[in-house]
Amino acid sequence: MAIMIFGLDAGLLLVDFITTAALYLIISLSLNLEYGFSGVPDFGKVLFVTAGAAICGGVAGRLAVYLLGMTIPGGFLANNTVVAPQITTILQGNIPVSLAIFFCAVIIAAVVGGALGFVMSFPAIRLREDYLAMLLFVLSVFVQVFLINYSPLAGGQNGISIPDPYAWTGNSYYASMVVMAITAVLAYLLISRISTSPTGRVLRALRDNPVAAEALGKDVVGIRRNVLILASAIAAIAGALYSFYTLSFNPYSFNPLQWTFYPFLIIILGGLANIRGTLVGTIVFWVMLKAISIGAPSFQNYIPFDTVWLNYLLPGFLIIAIIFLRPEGILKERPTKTV
Amino acid sequence: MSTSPILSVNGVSKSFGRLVALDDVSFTLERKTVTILIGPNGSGKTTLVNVVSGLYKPDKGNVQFESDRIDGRPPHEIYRKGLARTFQIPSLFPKLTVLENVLVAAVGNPGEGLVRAPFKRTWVKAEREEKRKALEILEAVKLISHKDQMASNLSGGQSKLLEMARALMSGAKLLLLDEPVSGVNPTLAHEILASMIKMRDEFSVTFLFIEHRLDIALNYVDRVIAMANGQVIRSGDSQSVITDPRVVEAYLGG
Repeated sequence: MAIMIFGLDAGLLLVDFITTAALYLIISLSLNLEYGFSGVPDFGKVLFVTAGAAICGGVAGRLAVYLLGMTIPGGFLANNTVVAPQITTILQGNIPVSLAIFFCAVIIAAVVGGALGFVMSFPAIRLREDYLAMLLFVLSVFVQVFLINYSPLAGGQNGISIPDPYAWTGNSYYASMVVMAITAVLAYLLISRISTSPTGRVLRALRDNPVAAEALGKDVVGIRRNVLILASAIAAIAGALYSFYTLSFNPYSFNPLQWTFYPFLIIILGGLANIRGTLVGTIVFWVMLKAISIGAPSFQNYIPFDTVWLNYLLPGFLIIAIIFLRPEGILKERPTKTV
Repeated sequence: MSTSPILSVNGVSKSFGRLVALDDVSFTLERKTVTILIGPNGSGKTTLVNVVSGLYKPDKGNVQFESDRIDGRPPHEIYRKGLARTFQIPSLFPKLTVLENVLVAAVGNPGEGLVRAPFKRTWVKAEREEKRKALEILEAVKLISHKDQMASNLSGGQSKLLEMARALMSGAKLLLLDEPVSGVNPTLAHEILASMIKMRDEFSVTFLFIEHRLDIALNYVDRVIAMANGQVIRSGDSQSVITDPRVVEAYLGG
């Protein structure tokens, strides 16, 4: 018999936990590469995740309609809520088109994410850390407002439905988890390899003293730009995979709290410039967050406000506590061990 | 080729408005020598170092490093040719270890760059070689026992040694040092200067440094160049230079 938690199957909750934790691991790893290692305060992290998710929403359904040769009066966008489930039914028996949709959407998301990272690298090179953080934050809000009000790409405020590229596996809920977990492992291996190479050492050096790094012949501008491109592409891939998990995209789901502040909290909790720390930080934070949302309602009688606000309050207290009690995080920065 | 001077400064002049900082300065540096540049404040020593390292372009004259003319070239280009300098205030990477500080200075490490970094095979050999070289340099400057410490834990004098080690790591053949032992305890000052001799002998590096603490520095140099009012007034071995009446007058006279 399945174990139940508040009327929900514990096994299904566990799958959701693993999928979303893997998602946050990918995003936080890319943020640690940017901020922990290279000192670029990417307060616009949500922007790149949203971009990837929106591209997935904009591409997947249309591409499926095109590849399957369907003709829809009024077009896909106008009828997406009806058409997307129909496509999903067709995709159950069509593996090539399913894979084509999946890979095209993810690759286009990565390219657009990387391109946005490239664009953002121009202010990143010219602005001081605090001003850059503000600019990136504002731009991320701007992109959300833009996507809410501009419907041709991904449906504007109504969002867009996405056909299920995992339908052929028979259980897309589990398939989505497996894909997300594999991507997280790949991201972990990639970023941990970069961090233990001479490049990781140079990143920490230019974070600490960009002027001295420049004097030692390092191309500080170029290195920072490449880091932003790579990290943004990874965040966009995470966004696209999240869209394939939820099978919809809505710009209202992408707020700076969940997609910028939580990743920052994770990397500060786990330890800046420590890749293993990000893994530990993700797990600790995600367990804590889920425990709050599952456990807090039981304490409603003792709390003078709705316990849903604890989801916002407690992470805030947590970050203040880390900065006061253990500013280096759970696992602190270590020298780059190359050979 | 190896007997030709490593650096020759020919008739270099530099003015800032009406102030003549360098007035027809000429000298050469022989390979594997340690030369001190002395002179009262405002005699043009730092301006000369700034011209040679590429920070200033001379108004007249030229500078030859090995077989190339380097006057007017940008500093990072001159650095890559093998002419490095340190500044009066050391500029380290505080959260990197002493060893890492030296390793960062390596020029052309193939493992630097996001594309090759994940593929360890492509850079591991070069990295081992750089590490061996870095340890050798740290041994020479006597910082080897501190190699795993954070650079922020070093004292002022040790920081200066580390800066020198970093400059050496770049493969510099000529090092220009601006006051390497000022503000340093005499015991450590002797050590810094002794390690300069060691680097000259072991790594065939040529040194030109500015220093006011003649009592300590003169024991270690092969040659002295004395400047006053933007001109070289005397050069030669330490005894003959410091007893020269013109040098004495420049320091003591009005």
